[in-house]
Amino acid sequence: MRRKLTSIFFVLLLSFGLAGCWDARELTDISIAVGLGIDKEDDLFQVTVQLIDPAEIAGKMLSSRSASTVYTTTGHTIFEAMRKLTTLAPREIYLGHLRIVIFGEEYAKEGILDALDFMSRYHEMRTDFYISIARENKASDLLKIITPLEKSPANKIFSSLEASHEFWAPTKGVKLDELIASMSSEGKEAVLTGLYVQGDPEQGTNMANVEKAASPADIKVDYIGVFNGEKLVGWLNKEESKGVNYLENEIKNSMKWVNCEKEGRVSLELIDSKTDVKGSLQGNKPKITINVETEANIAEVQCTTDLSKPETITAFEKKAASKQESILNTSIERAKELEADIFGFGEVMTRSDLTYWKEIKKNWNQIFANELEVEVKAKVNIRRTGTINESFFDDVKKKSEMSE
Amino acid sequence: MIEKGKISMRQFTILVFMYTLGTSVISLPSISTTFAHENGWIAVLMASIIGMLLVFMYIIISKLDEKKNLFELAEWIFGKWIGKAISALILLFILFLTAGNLRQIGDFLSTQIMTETPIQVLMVMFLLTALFAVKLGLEVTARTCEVFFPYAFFALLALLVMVTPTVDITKIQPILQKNMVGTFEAIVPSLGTPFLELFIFIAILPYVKKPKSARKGYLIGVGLGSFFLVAITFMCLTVLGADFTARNLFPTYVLGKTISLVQFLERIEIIVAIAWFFTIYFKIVLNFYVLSLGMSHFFQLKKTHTLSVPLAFFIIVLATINSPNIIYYLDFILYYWAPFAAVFGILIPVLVLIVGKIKVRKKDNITKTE
Amino acid sequence: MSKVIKFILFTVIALVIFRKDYASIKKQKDKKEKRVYISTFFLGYILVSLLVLEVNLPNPSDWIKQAYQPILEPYINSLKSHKLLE
Repeated sequence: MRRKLTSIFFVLLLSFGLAGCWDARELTDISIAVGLGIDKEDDLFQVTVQLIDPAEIAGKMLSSRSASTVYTTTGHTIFEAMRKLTTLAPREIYLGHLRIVIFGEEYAKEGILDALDFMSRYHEMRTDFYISIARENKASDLLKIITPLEKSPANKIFSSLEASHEFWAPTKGVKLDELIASMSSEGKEAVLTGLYVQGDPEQGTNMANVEKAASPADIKVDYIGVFNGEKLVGWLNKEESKGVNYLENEIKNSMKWVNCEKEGRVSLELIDSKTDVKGSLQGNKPKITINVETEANIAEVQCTTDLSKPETITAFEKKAASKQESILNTSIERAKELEADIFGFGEVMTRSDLTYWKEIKKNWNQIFANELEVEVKAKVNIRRTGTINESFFDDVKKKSEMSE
Repeated sequence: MIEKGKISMRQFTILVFMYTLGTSVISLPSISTTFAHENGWIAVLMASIIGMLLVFMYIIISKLDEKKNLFELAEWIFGKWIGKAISALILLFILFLTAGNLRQIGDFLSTQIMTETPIQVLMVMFLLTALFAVKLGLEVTARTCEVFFPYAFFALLALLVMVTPTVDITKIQPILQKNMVGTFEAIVPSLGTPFLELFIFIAILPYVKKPKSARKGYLIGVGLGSFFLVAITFMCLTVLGADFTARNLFPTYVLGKTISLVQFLERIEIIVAIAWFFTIYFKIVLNFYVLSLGMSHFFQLKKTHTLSVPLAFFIIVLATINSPNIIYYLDFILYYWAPFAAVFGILIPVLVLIVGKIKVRKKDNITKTE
Repeated sequence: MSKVIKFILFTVIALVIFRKDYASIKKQKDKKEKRVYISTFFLGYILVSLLVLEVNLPNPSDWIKQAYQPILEPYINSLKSHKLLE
């Protein structure tokens, strides 16, 4: 009898556990945030979240409602604003699936440290989302744009960043750990990709935006924002941005064109590039030597040229190399103008000459801007010419000339 | 001998391996990087070499008398009263250690995974399962460990392999040029967890079937565990960078978060995290077991687990009050733990060894003259 | 009020655990064994009760810190000077 009683007692005790776990959260209780925007409004933080409506994304019955919803609030701290959002949003906001974080340009100019601290401290946040800046805009306006093809705008930005990072050199996807690492490193400054609205932002917030084949407003990924410390100090344009990725060894698949001898152009598909950066001390002046070696294929020929001759290929290789050198030089020049060592040359100097570095690390950015000599050597190897070798350009042109 | 069970060499090796990883697998990268910066992994490497030397010493101690465990050795070498006093000190240390480990897994769960669950509930859950294992004895614990070992081993191995695409060697360069003093000083706090705690295995060595192979297993277990610790610290540094590693309380978990293979194998950090649930669990069980065994020796009781339930009360109280917040705990681990543990991991073993050697020689002389 | 309820709940649980756990020791004739068990159990019970009743218990880590502080002062200062994050 006693045995039975104690067993019953234990069963009762165990049943307390069945009441549920504290942290259980059902999918119906949370709303998933995919985009987060942070702006500064006077003294307050303005936080914008983009939530997705699972029923619109995956449901079988599609209504004409938008797949994503945007809420905005302000608060003295980011966390306060986040918590205030729960008064607007129907459910608790879950940040674990965040795809993109956007800072408004004004906020980025004032410094983004508060946001970075919040993002690395908050336990739901991971490190696998991209961070970018709304160029000449507020983050909240950007998140409101309804985008074609992808149902959720944040997802659209995420995938176009990922794709362009791989196929189009002038952009760079930056994630939280990389951003913090380069921001806190002594010999390096951080960069972030810019986003902007192409077209009419007012129309972009309308459902009508996606009803046309060519949407009146869309989000574009371009330009690279340059930081000095925690503050945004300037932008690199398309041409100037390319060099950043070449130097970071991050070109996986990009393109460039070179001029033919007479008229027309030849497009090269870059397959792989290896960058080797070395630092040295020449007298009392620091010097950086950059060796870039690129593998390329010919992707398009628009002129009459004899591709079967090895000399032609060598000529193209040289042209491409000098073009690449000039691209790198433009980027470096621009960075020097902004006094921000975004290429991590300071880190290179640390590795090559530590005693020198210790002396000058306090005013490295001035030295970078004024004294540092950078030598760029590029080499392009053209390996293949696509599925055909000689272009039929030649023959067709000749034929048309004859008929004349 | 009050422990009648016997475990095999393989089981013993696995237990040592799990114990070495224990709580260190999540906290050591941060501890060593805080002081050694980019050279954090070298500090861990050197600490594990020193750890191996310590294990050699523990092996020599256990050779004094293969049949006696830590507490019996202490009483045999120092006589009844001093021996008891030393046993009591060691027991207090292990009580502290067990509570600390319990607190660490509680803190980990409540900062990273289950933020709303009260930490006491998490700790009670963990302690109850550990109590269960202690009640069932060493043999059962060793067999359980054999079951969970492959999971822990392969999950950690998978973590190491899957983060390799994001490794960036330049993050730890220049190797051993900056911050040399800090690197060498970082060895001390790195030694604290787990290498100065490994002496508790002297209490388990007599219960392994073949003493000779047991000693080999001891070294293999510590060696393999150290390899993982060095490798994980290395990966944390090369993937996350020194700054992010030192800043995070549990960098290994953040490392797991960075796993992303072709956008398909993602968000699997919790699967990796379960690996150290096991390592920490077995560390707690082994500490708890040795504590309970030592208490039984101290009071000359008949079973190893007689006092396990009251001890569980002590542990849970100590785990709750031993730090008011995580910063206090971190401060304690970084600055005070290693010197405190060194008394038990180095000082007492050296004393035992010296006095023990003299005693054995005297005994030999007496038998020779006779 | 709630801590009193917690305390009563814990007392009941402790009693049940005691009955279950003591059963195996009860069989033995050794008086010392029983005495040691009961006294440690009682001590543990008191400690947990104090915890449940939210009495401020002294932190043993503080004692260790205080005992080691004088010897470790230079070591800790040196370590702190090499800390990565200020």
